[in-house]
Amino acid sequence: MKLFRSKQANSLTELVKACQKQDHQAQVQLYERYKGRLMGICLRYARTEAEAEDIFQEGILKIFDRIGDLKKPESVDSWVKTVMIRYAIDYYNQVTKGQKQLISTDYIETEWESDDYQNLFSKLHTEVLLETINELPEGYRMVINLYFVDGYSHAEIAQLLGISEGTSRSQLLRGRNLLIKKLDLKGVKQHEKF
Amino acid sequence: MKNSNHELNKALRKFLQHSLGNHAVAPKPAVDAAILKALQQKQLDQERSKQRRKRIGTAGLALLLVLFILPLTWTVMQRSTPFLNQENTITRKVIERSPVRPEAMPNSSRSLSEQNVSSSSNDNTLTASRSARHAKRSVAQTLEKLPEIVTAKVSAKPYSIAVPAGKSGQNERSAPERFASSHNQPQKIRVINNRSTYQTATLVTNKQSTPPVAPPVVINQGSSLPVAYVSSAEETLVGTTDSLLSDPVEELTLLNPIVLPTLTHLQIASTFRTIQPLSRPYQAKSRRQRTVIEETNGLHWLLNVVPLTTRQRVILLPNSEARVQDVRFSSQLNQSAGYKLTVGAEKKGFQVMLSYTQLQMRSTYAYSTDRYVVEENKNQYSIKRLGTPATTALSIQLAGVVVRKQLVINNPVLGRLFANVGLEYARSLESAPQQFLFASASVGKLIELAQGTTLCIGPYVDYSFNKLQPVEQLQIRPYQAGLSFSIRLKQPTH
Repeated sequence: MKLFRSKQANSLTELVKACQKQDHQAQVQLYERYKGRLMGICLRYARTEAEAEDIFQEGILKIFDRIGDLKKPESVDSWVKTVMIRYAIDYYNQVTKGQKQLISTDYIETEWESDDYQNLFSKLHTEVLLETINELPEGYRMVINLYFVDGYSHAEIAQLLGISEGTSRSQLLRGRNLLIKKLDLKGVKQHEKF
Repeated sequence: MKNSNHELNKALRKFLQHSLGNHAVAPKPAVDAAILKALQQKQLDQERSKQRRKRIGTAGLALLLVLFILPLTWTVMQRSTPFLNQENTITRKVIERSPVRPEAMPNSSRSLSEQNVSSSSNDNTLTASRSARHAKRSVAQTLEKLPEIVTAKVSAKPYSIAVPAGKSGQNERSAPERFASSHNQPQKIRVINNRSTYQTATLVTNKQSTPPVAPPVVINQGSSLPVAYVSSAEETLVGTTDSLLSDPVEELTLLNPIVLPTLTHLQIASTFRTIQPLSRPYQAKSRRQRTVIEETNGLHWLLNVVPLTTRQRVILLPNSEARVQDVRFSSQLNQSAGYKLTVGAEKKGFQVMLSYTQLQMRSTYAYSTDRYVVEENKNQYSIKRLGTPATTALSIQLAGVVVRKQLVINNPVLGRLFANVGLEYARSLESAPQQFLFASASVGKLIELAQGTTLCIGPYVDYSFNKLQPVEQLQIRPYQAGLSFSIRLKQPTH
């Protein structure tokens, strides 16, 4: 994954080592480096922007708490992302999981023609896509984010969310269909606007 | 043509990763400021804790050193004191058994030896003129006692004692060492007159060990008496005319046996004896040992009143809908005061009581909003999140059962003391009762008011194992502290 690829591996290693020594300047530098992308992750996993900010703040502090445990400084990109995702999942497990899952009535086995989704995807803007994902019920949103965006397997998702692999698969299927349906609606609207 | 789920998933994954995988959103400045502030604060805390750890480490090291050195010193002193006492006793015995005592000595010898003793005890640097004067006096006295024949032979020519070699200062040091090693075996002193005839004199010492072979001391006519031989604290020459009379070869026994060199030991012993008093810890120990834990027999009735002040520990629960900030507790007594009444009985230190508790708690807090205020203070900007204020006021009445164990300690210094630990199970007197389990502890003093009536007074603390949840985002764990007044009445025995 090219998400957090560092341009200067040597300086990044030094930066991480300085952070491990609790150097405040290095901490600020590292924060400035990753804040945008980490906030993007939080926005995907949170329901609201306020919740995303909370997750972001706590997650960043957790990253600096645990950076001493990082054995390979060169892999800090993926490590930072993983810590933030895991914290977002923890937050979900602690806070929002207990709430009732919105049972979607939109679950219909949909069959798509080959060009349908290609056309649909090409019409969507990122902000709209993010907004649509956030509108999904909690469980679906989590699984879609983990599987489609962050590339986790069903086994990993099951472990992270404390569910079975079968649940993960079924939630992904339902979430995907709901997402496409919502995107379809938004894409059309978006298309009509332009 | 229809796509399989797999193909659709693949396409969706590709699209979403492309769109959202690198999606970056800059956090709001307020979030930035909060995080940077938190990081800075964290670093400050770490530095403080590091300094605290360092200070604690230094103090601990010092304490360890003290703890190590004190017992060591104690042990050394404990071991050295009997040794010094023993040595002192031996010294005293030696003095008592010594055949030569100062009062038994002739006046001339005693004065010389006393002078030597005082000189050696006060100052090691004995002046040469003083010693020489004593030496001349001794020689003169000896010569007066000599028989006429010897006197006639010897007095015709002036006598002198020749120093074998070296300066007088060197002899001051070397001579006592030599004489100290020589003992009852007489040492030969050769007396030289003008006719070059050698006359030997006997130098008597009182040491008992086998002497090494000492070179003879040559006494030459015309030269003065060497200072060192006479000023030695260990030896004194005393003339023994009898030996001269019996000796046809004009031998001279000049001076008396010396006084024992015991003063050095006596001084050391007396110095060490001043360090001796070490009995304080033993006294403290024996005092401590006198502290007695009383056994209370019989039945006692108890009435207890505890004015309380309530403290709270607030736990903020994460909530996506609202975030709580600025939690504060009321410091006013009428909003945080309470009391506890207990009535019961005690037997063999175990107390069983019924309790009634009234508690008040008040806390203010704010729900965070998305509005911020930037405050400037000396070119430093601080961002404060605004909140909607809210208040939680709780007034709880509890009824329950208390079980305690009381220890009564009789201390000779502090008098009669007590210590209580116990558990309390209580239920709130509300329509939806809540259950509580408290652990309580109290210590204090027992004051005898009358025959069989005792007042127990002392601080009291309560710890709750249960939490209250007045609102969704807050959990409160109450603590109470107060001053306990308890009347203990003994059941009269028939």
